[in-house]
Amino acid sequence: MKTNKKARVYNSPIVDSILSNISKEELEITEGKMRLAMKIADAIKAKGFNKKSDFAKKLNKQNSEISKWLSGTHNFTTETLMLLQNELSINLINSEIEVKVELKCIYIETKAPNKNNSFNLSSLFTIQKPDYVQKYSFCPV
Amino acid sequence: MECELVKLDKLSNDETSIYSLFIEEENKTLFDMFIEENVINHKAEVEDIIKRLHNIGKVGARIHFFKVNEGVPGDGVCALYDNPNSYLRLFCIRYGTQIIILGNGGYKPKNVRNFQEIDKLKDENYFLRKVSKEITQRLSEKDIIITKDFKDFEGDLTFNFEDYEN
Repeated sequence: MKTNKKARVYNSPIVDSILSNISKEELEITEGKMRLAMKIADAIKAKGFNKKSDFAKKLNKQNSEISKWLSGTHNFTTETLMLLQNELSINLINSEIEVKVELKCIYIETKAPNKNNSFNLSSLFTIQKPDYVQKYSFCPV
Repeated sequence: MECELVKLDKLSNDETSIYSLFIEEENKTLFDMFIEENVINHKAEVEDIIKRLHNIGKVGARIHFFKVNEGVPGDGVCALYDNPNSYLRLFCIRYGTQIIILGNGGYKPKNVRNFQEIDKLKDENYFLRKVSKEITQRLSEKDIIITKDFKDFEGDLTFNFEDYEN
């Protein structure tokens, strides 16, 4: 090589100006679409469809439809995602419902005949701390 | 016409380096020209293109993000995928998933099937073919190399093309 000069890094004012008007959320949506397209493209290959046209034929679609799906610009319908999920054996829609309950305090009302009587409330319970609970305590009311 | 291959700061990222040609007498890149020429009439599309390029820097220039074979066989000239309801075509040269060079492009009406029917698009495309040919020549003569991580060009990155007209 006659020279080993690195390329000059150019900061384009017009690109900067347009990027500054695009929100982080908009960029994330575009990234999500592109990553989804990548996941589908990888799965098509992993399933042994070496040509896009083979996969199009399998789904009875036009090649241009597959190109659109893989372009990273497409807004998929649930129907299309379900179709791809089934054909490609990948998870594109997570339909499992995950519920997290944060138990902050348990209030127990007791009818004690005498206010001076006391008992150890925690001894009434056997509590096993689940993994998703970081800490728990009995709250004095 | 003097020009130089420059790396675009805000678009290049971990996965892909994004270059364009800086035209000395215009004091801007081909991609700057593309934005200037189209941002008024097609602002949303220009923004969409920039969003995609910004993310290509992050995720890689995967072949399915492009419309390939827009040049002669093997020259890497392609266009960023334009979806059915878009009107802008941006030409690029793609070197694997890690380097792309952005050119100019322009408006392609829906009733036009081939870009060659539009003089502006034809000129921009043919200019990139010429750039690709020159880079290939320099790569073979080792005047330009692609770095070991496949992400950058090094070497003689200045060019003198006679017949670019914007």
